[in-house]
Amino acid sequence: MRFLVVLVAVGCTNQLDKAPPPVDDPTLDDGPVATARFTRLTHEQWQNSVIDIFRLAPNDAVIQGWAARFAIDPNSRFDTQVDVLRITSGLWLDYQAAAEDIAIYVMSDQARREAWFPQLPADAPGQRDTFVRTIGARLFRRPLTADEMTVYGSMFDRGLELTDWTIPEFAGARAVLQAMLQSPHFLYRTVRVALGAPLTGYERAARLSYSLWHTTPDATLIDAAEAGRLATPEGIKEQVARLVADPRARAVMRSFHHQLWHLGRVERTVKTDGLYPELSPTFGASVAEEIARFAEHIVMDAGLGVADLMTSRVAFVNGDTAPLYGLPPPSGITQVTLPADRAGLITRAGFSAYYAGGTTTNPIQRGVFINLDVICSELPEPPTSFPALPAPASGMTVREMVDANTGVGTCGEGCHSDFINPAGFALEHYDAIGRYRDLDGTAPVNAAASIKLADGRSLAFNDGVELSTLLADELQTHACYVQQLMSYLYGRSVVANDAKRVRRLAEASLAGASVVELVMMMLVDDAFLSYYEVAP
Amino acid sequence: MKFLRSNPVSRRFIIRAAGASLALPFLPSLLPRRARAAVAPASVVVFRQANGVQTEFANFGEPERFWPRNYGPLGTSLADVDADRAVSELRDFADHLLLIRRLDIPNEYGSGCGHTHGLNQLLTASRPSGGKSMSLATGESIDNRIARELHPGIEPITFFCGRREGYIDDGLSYRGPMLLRTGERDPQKVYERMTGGSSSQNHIDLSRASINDVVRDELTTLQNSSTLSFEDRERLALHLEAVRELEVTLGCMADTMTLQALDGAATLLDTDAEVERVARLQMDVTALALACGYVRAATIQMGGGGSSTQFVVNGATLPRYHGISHRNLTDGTPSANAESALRHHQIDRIHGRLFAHLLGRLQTYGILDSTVAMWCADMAVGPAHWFTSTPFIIAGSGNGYFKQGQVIDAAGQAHNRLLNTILNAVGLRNTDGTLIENFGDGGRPPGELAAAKA
Repeated sequence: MRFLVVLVAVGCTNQLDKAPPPVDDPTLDDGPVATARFTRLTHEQWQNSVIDIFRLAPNDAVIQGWAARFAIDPNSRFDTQVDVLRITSGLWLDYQAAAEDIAIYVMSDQARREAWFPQLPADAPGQRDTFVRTIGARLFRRPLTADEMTVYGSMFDRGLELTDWTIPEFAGARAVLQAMLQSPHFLYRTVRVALGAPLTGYERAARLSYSLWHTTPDATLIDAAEAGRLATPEGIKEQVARLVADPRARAVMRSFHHQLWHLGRVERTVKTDGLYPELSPTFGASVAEEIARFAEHIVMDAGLGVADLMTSRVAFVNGDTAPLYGLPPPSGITQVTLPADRAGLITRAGFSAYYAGGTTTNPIQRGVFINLDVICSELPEPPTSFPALPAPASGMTVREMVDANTGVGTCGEGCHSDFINPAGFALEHYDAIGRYRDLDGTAPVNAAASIKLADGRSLAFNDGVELSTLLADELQTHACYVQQLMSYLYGRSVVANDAKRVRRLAEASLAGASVVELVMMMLVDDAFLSYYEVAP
Repeated sequence: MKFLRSNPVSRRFIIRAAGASLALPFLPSLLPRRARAAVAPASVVVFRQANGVQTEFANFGEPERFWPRNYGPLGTSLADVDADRAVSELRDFADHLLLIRRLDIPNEYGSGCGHTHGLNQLLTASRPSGGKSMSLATGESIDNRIARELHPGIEPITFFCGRREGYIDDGLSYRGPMLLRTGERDPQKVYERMTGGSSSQNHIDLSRASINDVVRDELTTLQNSSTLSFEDRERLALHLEAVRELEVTLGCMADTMTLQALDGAATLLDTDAEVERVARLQMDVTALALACGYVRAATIQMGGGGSSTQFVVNGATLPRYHGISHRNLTDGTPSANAESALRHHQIDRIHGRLFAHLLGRLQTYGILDSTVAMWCADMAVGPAHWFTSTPFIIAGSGNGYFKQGQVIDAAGQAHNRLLNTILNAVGLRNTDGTLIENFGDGGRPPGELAAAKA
């Protein structure tokens, strides 16, 4: 799904197609947005939920093995997007096999069983009701209805028939477990309230937990739900603060940044043909991790915001990355301040190294990355097939070549000359493995350019450091991060009716709100805590 | 509701494993007698290569290295005159081949990404939605059409071979508009699913039936309980459709060697150097599935769109495939490089040898002639992402439907006509019994590819 850009992108042509909307456009309003009633657990959420419900070790190999085996979901911008979370025929068979296996796994070993198995009374009906009620509440993330008590109770009673175990209460438990693990009430987070209504406490607890921890609500969240504390903004904030402070939220934000900036691709940066014999096999992993660790520090340790992501020179370097920044290689990983020829995110070595050829930089790909993923300038589709380009005249710099092929006077004029290429040229001081350079071949690097923003204004800069500072001060940059974070946490695309919401958050971010504060604002928003559909 | 996996011309073995699986040595003599005498039902298996092939590209000074020199009968040319061409890897099956040149995938839809553009249209003949790497096809694929008509309740076999890169991965098989079906990578998992549908243990069947009843009730209650959006409705419907009992499973078993090879395949899935081994195992399982009548349609997608697999040639690891196909080893704008062109040709040969392996298995099971096996690619000329004259190589005739032993000229027709022909070869028809001529979104003239028909 495409992202909405709050500030409407002008057409990629020589002239403005239309004037951008005024800042206080009254037609932009918080409106109802479609949310899903049934959000299937992602495979990671499934894994974490099973581990937590049955109090297994966080890295339990059996549960991880099952999740790794599940039919894979189609690619989407973020793996939390409900659109791709479907139960297909293949995945259903996977869930079935896993449920049967896990029901045995968590029960067959005494120590494993005792970690979660509820204390049962002596009488058979009591055993049935206690087990079903207790475990059902954990698996379905809410108390069972009377009908459900009956249905699953009867399954418990039939344990000896439905399993090959001979101890009635264990056989019954196993029968119930394997059923509940296949129930839509476990596999989906469901919303049952009416259109426009606030979610119940249990539904809010699930949303908070799966957004910030990717797992089932813990006892504290459930208690808060039952005590009615999730019905107020103050109660929500209290829980959000608690959840954010936990290492699990750190892992979730790390995953967000990993997907946001395509760090999976950066990890696979490979320079072949012996071009850089000094690079170790861990080069790709190291340059990606440097970026990930930087973002984690800014957002989770230092409690800073988007502007700092763009401009801060804090870095965590190792033996692979330190030399790229002209620093002595440490043993292990060490925190440093990068030299003044660097700034924040876009100047980090990993992006320059990945968006590059063998020994040449690739300003077009770097420029596309900045436009699409860092400032969310909508670009129209490139041509599906392209004419073969002429061989470069000898002695041309990469910039000169890119200009000759896509700049003013070519078919790329507009999109390339105004938006893509300038952003890429800004990074020309960083070579094909991300080191700083003053020369491209024998010619001095020219990283000065002027980039057009979505609202038609142009920003002139001398290099990537200056561009970073300028972009840090642009609402568009903050709106881009905000809407992508929102999409990740909400598990859906950001749409037109989110525009005012996004602007509010972007303005707060521009004014200095930290990312954690943005998270708080998103999760106390009505859009997160109530159920809507788009008005017909 | 129980589905019987009924198939009027059943080819299942009578042998069933009791309890733990028995590894039976597979002998052709164990095929039911009628299978050797009678005609097996036609099936389809598609083997799709990424990044185009190294075919003539004057702009970069590249000669033809893929296709044979002439049109018409192949004869022995793949073994002699055309031995320098990539398709010569299929020389042992020349009599069963139909090489189709100058068949086009529509070019003008502008999805903005050459790799999704071709991939999404390949088996759907439906325009891609916009959205570059997130682009999806707007119609179902032929394997889905075949599966839902000929064995509803059993999905087609869908394999993906290689690392998933999180960029453009799956893109061949579609349940419907925008409903991408992702592939399985582990051939052992698919084999176990084929052979383990129901169990010899009664309590498992009983508990599954009971649980399915409960799940269906719960889903139905959810469907009726609130006003649902279109997407939610669709979500639950797909889920409900998936909840079913599998009737008696086939007793079709792989031979011991294959079983041993399958065991541990899961550890090879992310290693580029093992892609060929994994592909062969996927093909082994596919051929077995077709021979046993488990499915009538299968696809094997070799790498994602823009695959960056690093193949091994003569012991040396090549650069990323995508970079090679762009010639200058970047993912960006291509420029000429003769060494990369030769490497692309080597990669074409690898795919040819893999396809030959598949044909060999089909032949061993005696179903080569009844199958329509197809080797195809997302695009023709890799560097320029051109879709005209995209490679389509048919092997097997679908029980005499396709010409054999020939190279034909499709004269710039669109590939939807080939898809129509394939569906008809497998035995599908319109509800009024007429030949299918309009599969896809109708963006190109209807009809079959007459030049391909026997």
